[in-house]
Amino acid sequence: MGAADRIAQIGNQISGGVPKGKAAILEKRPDDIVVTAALRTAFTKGGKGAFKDTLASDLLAGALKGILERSKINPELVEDIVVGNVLAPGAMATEARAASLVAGFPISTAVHTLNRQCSSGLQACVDVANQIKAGMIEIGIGAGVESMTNNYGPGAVGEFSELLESHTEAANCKVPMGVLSEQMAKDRGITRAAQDAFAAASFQKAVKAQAAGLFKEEIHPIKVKYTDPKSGETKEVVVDKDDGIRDGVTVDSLGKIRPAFAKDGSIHAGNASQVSDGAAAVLLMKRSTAERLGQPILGKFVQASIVGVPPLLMGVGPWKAIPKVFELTGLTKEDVDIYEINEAFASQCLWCANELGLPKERINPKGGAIAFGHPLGCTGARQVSTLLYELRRTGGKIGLTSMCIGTGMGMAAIWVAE
Amino acid sequence: MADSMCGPSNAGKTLLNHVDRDRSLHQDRLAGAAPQAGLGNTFRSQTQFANGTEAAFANFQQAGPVMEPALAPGLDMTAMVPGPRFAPAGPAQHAPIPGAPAPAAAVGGNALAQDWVSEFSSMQIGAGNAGPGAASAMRVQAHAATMAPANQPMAMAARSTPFAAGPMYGFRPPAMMNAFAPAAPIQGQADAAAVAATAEAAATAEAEAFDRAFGEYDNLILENDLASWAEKQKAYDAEFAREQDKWMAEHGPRVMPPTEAEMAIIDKDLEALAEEQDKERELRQKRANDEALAKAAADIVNSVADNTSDKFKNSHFFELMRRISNREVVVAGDAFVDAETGEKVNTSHVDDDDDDGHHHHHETGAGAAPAPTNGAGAA
Amino acid sequence: MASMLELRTPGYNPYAVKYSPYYDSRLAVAAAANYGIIGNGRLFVVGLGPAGIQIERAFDTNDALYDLAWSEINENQVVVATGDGSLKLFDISAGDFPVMNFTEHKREAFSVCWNPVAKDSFLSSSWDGTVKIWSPSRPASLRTLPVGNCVYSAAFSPQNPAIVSCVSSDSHIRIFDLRTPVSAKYHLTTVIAAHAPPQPPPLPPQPQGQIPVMPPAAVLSTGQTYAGAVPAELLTHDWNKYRETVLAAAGVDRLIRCFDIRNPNGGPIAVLPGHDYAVRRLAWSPHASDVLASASYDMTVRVWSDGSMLAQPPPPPDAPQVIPVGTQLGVMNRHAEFATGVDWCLFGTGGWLASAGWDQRVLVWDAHTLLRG
Repeated sequence: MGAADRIAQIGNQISGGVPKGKAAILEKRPDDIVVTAALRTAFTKGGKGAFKDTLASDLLAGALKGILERSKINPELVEDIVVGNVLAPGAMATEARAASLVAGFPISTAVHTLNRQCSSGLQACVDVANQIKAGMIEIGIGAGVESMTNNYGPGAVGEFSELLESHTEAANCKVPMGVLSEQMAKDRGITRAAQDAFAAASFQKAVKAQAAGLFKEEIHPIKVKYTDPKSGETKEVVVDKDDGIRDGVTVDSLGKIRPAFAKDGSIHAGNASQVSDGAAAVLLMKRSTAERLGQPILGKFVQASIVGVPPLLMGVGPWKAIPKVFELTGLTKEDVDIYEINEAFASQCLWCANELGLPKERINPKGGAIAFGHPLGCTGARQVSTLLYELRRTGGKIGLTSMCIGTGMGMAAIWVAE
Repeated sequence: MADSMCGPSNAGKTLLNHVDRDRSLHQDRLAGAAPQAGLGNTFRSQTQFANGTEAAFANFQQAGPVMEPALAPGLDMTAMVPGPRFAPAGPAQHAPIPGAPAPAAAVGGNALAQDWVSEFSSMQIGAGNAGPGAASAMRVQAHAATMAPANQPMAMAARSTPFAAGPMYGFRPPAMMNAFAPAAPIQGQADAAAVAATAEAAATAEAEAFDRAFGEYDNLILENDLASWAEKQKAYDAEFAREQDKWMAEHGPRVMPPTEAEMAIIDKDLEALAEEQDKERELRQKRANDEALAKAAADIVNSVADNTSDKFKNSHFFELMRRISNREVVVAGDAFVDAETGEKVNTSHVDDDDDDGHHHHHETGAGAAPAPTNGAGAA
Repeated sequence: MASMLELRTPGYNPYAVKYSPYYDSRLAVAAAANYGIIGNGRLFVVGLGPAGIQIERAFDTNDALYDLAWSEINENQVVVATGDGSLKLFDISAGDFPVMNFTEHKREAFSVCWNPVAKDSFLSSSWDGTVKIWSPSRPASLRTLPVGNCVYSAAFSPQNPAIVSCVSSDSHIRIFDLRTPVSAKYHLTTVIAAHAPPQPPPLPPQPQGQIPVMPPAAVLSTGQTYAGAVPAELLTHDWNKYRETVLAAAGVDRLIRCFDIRNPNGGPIAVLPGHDYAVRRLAWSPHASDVLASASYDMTVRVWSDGSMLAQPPPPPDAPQVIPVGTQLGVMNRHAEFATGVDWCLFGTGGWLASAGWDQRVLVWDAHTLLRG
């Protein structure tokens, strides 16, 4: 009937459909997608660290088990687990399914994996949130895992056909990240000194945070087998600390490292993300479901944005994705209390932060991938627990996670701590 | 992509791709394929029995159908009532004999059938034909194997109703004779005549032997049975039709069109039915509309819930929306009415304060100031 | 306020107010019962005289009225857009019933506009997704322009009688040229996505390995990045009376944007932020090329300058595109419900406005008082 239509039309004109702005974001609604458990394993150095003899599937199983232990949720209620992974063949779809069964989930819990390069962990959480919003599932887990010890290597990329090579931008997707970031740093005038300062700061923040036990809440210790390379003896160890965090890193000590990609370059192992192993997982459901089940609410997922950028400029991903997520949510940069921007390279992270004018003291307060590592598929999911626990600790409300993505993309997401 | 990882990587790493790459996953997955099968050749390989499954399949094909006794319970020689019906009048008797039971052989066990055939052929009913007999027996078996699916239902049907004898009856030697045409040329053209002669003699002898063994039944009885059955069926059909007509006459639609009076009654009934349905539909629709209205009004109220300004708090429009969402006000015809009293809701703003802060009662709206001076005026 | 006249329209909520092109002392108000949700409508013809502001005539319609347009060839005639999709032509000198009825739209008609140059036709737009061109003397439409989704506002260009513009709920502005042949595009010549950021020119192809310079995003003159917005319904638009190719559009996302139709992908040439809720009506001043009035659901009427009169230094070559943010000259806060109509008076010294709102008030006031106060 006309009256209902007309009133609905007026309603749409008033609300514009989607609530925007900080006040609207902070409101609690029964349909909000909330996080009731979020954790990560410790990160260890690829090839050398305590996880070097553990396959990615086992890391994932450990993280998923942790979710069950922490949330005490009935595993049968979890309908889908989405796992981000980059390097394993087929994004380890089969292994992930097996890992979920090992972790204690029944066969009725579905599993799928996905690969959007460095954002896979975040994309996994977003996919679960979208599935819940669409009514496809009620409860899901977004996770990420990477064993760079086992899978980092030349075999991970397929061969490029002539067709791909003949197209400029397509061929650009193969240009090594280090090379193009080096070029970008030169182009944008980001000095070695500035990068080293940024990197040193990341180390120092991480050291302080680790000493203060600020990672304890988010790290879930897991027991794995470790073969000592010297003695050959295999023992079981409990891994609960990031082993990449190194004390005593300063601009000077970083200044001594040789550049990795160009003789006169500025990027080296000290101001780039570390190669690491690790897993992370986030349990998501609607607020009404969480209340019904008595699940504690850590925070909520608001919105995510995805953008494409030139493959050769992949480092600018956050610079494009962050304004987009602000537009989608009606927020401004002043509204965000903590930024978790992945430190793929000091050069690109620094450049994005400068371009967007983000307040430096709010970026990665506990350090970033330069200090404790970037297991590719895991990072996106890792950032959620790091972010939410730090927001709660400091009384912050709105957080943003973001990363640049290899082959030229960027992703950003808004979270609220409660 | 190792190269696109965010992290330190050596520019020379890409060179390793060409050397180091593990191509094992790209290869065909037939592990254990015959050595002559190169990449891509395996499926076109003609080597039979190259592996176990192929061997098994070849065996299967040569051996013919393997039938479970359970599928055709009790179908053995003694129950072979249909057998004699195949007793042909013509030559090549030997052939059909194993041919007739061949359906049974098809439904008996494979080994069982083979035993039986060899047993039978060794009975020397048809002298001198043991050789070709055996050969043709094999052929028959092979042929029967293909005909087995057709035979099976018929063989089984034979036990159920005589009616089914019809098709079986049609399954006559002529078919069998065609089947065994190949048997003849094998002997070669030279002694074809001699063979034919001996074959004919043998056939007649076999027929007699067969009749002796199974001769208590013959065609006449079958025909009589069939005829009487057909008559019974006809009578039954006729009676059924009569009963059906009778029933239709009493309960079914009439042949004659209804009279005017009857039509009137029918029309009235239909209309009443239609009206009822319409009313129901309208009621449902009204309820749905009311719900949609209330929901839309609730959305409007919620969308300005965070607005604390006086104007919005005192707004008549939002007040009306609030009342609609509470179902205090509903739509009736062309107006908003109070849900309880049915009174029209007054949406007038007549009682609002004026600009000068005083409450005036207006009718046509007189202004407090003179009109602005005209410029160009009329056109 | 001494220089504000007030008229009440009891029982009816105004949706539009327009000055007569013939008499500056005559206005028409299109109004609807129950906020236009249900019930009938009423067209008020209002006169400003020594006794103040008075209702001279009223015409009743059996459905809500959402817009009106004065005839440009007959001083006594007004066409209205009604909630049942019909357009009705009333004559003040005639009886209570419409002298012409135009019934083709299948859903609510939301706007009407008389051709100010050719004067022999008018157009209408509707929730049924079409814009129709009519002759006042023929009951059947002359042309139907398909848009596909609810068209809230349509207009003729004030300078070019063949140009038709419309805005719709899919957040796009469409320009039609009636002189073009009716090809597959039905006269459509330009489409502007009002919400989209300015499209940078395409990057020239770069050889592999070389980093292309990514063009920076546009910024507003206040420094904020202008990254575009989510598509939102456009409720209103108006052509600038002095700059032939400039029009302003606004709607649910509260931002008024000015565009130059010669550069449809170049993004807005000015933005006017400030309203707190949807903007329902826009009207460029007939006296100043940079002045614009807007009526909004935030119950205010605001007067703006789009900054085009300010001298702009040429931008440095590699700089990001700067979109000027206009200035809000004043806010009129007298309406107690949604403000839905605004129109400038053509005559006199300029600056006089009429505004209408759902508080059943029509206010006639001088914009200069806002600036002074």
